[in-house]
Amino acid sequence: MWVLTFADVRMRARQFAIATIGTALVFSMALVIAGLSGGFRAETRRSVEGVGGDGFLVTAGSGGPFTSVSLMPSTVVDQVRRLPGVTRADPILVFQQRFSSPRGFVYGPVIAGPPGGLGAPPVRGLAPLRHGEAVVDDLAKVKVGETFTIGNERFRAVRRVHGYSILGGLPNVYISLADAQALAFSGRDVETAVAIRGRPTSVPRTLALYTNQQARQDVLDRLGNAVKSIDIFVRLLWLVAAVIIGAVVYLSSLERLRDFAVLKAIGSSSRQLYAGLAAQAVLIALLAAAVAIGLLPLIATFIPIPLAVPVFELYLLPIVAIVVGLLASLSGLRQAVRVDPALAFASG
Amino acid sequence: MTVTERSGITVRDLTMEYVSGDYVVRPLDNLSLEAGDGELVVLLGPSGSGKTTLLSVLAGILTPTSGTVGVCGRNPSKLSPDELNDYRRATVGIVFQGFNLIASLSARENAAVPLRLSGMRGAAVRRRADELLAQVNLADRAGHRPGRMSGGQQQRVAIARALALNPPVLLADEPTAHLDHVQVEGVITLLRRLAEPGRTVLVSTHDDRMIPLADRVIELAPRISEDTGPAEELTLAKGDVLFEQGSRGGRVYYVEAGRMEILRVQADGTEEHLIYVEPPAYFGEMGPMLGLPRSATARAVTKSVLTSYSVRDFRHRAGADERARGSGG
Repeated sequence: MWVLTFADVRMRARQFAIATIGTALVFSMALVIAGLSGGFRAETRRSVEGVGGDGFLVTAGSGGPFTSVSLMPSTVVDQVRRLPGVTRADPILVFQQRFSSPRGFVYGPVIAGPPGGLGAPPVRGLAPLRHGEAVVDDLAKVKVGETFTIGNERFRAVRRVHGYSILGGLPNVYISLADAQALAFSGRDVETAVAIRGRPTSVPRTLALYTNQQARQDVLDRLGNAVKSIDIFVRLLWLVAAVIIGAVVYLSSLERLRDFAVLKAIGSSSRQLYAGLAAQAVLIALLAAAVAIGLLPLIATFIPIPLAVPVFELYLLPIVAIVVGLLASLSGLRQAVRVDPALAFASG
Repeated sequence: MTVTERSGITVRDLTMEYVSGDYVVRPLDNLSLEAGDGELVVLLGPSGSGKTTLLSVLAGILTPTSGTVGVCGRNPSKLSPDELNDYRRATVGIVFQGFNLIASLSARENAAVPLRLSGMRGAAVRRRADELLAQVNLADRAGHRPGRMSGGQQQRVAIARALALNPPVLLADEPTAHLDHVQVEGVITLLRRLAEPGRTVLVSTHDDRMIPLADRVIELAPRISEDTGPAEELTLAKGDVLFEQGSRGGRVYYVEAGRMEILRVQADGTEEHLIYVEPPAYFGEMGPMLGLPRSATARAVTKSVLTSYSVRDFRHRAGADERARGSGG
């Protein structure tokens, strides 16, 4: 009975178009939100791996290298370099700072490493940063060549990078290690972590090892509740989509009670009627999913923080759409099953 | 034309009761009839006489309270749900009073609905649907939706749909109810033409213009007013029931002495008191005058003496009483 299904969709095109657009907006919101969650992971991965090492050593008992500031004397680096399994070790400084750009104040992590070493800006072929030079993420709203201040120090942006931020869009600012030590620690020769290559087989009790994965997770743990809320919100949006489609299918089935009665009177089974309703609901849901995927790049331009929609979410959406459509069609099932074919004989 | 085990329609002692509101209605009471192969049979009767109920029973949509039905040798009330769906598609074709076409489908698609329900696909569906529309002289309206067709054209599409799987029985419920006289002629002529060997056409109507074309006419509400018997006096003992709700009768009663109760039997078997009737008053006139079953039961509360009249004599006495009251007052 596909003919009947499509003919009804054609006749109620406006009704179904509104439902499709509404559902598409809900689906696209779900994708955007899933993209936020993915964005958190992507920016953290880039920021951590952008340091260039395989892990970090920090003071035991403190947090991860990107989330807490626990100063270590520079002698620790030499100690780490001697650890078995470590092929390279460089001091790095990471601390949160507010800086003022021509377009306003921005918070973000300042990341600094030795010239040409780990912790340097993630820009291939870039000469080591000199005093007063900085590499900034796009989200810092600083253009190349512009100056901005961190504390009382002025810096000039020499390059911009994209996608290097943490905690939901806090832009990274890369400066030289000497500038960072002068800016935050009165020029003392200290670091907040030692970035390493290789994998130490043993670590002194005064230090704690964070692999890149652990360092990422440490950052994401700060967003734990936000990520969980986002995941719940995505499921709720799927439910909203089901309710929108369900409402349209339900109203459509109420309007078609007499048609259902006639169809039953001339030999249609309840199963055939329900299949038609389910096909309508799934059709709306799949169209909405397609529109949502099409709308995504447009909507993403209005979202100030980086989005990374996981590919599996895009593959998942049509499946979700089918499930949502089938769930929604249950709203009309009762009409299809319970309608009395005797209604077809009623006049008027 | 005859009814055989595999053709035509037989109805034996069919009674149909259903609950309407709080009380039980019995639109069909011990009805028996036959419609042979190739016959055009007209079920004639006013609204409420059970025509549509009978068609619904024959279509397998309602299950009778008692009695048996045979349509081409099959009793629809004995079929499983799947067999019943098949029966409604292939054994009986139904033409509804209100056309009941699917508004979103074209004439061709409407005619094709039973074909698709039966699993037919592809070009064969279109070919058969076009044949059907040609059969009802609507080949040039195949692409039109119901909203762009006249009532007569819609009814002919409905007939085409009913004929889709070439069922041996065609049931038409008030097929001329919503049509003007020009359209009525076309539909009646078509139904007459369709009653041919291999197909029985049963038409319910209150339109007696169909009578001359019918092979057989079955009146579902006998003309009770034909009861012209003389006035009779009868005596009831306390508790005697004069007539029961749902029964048919042609007499109107005057209470000469005693007290009668008019009551309605509810669906759950309890009795709802309506009114007491005492001299000089009458009751029971509406059923015979309108040709409808009694809508309530009459029972003697005390020993009562009644005079029963035919409708004609009742009118005569009621008129005389009215005149007497007028001259007296």
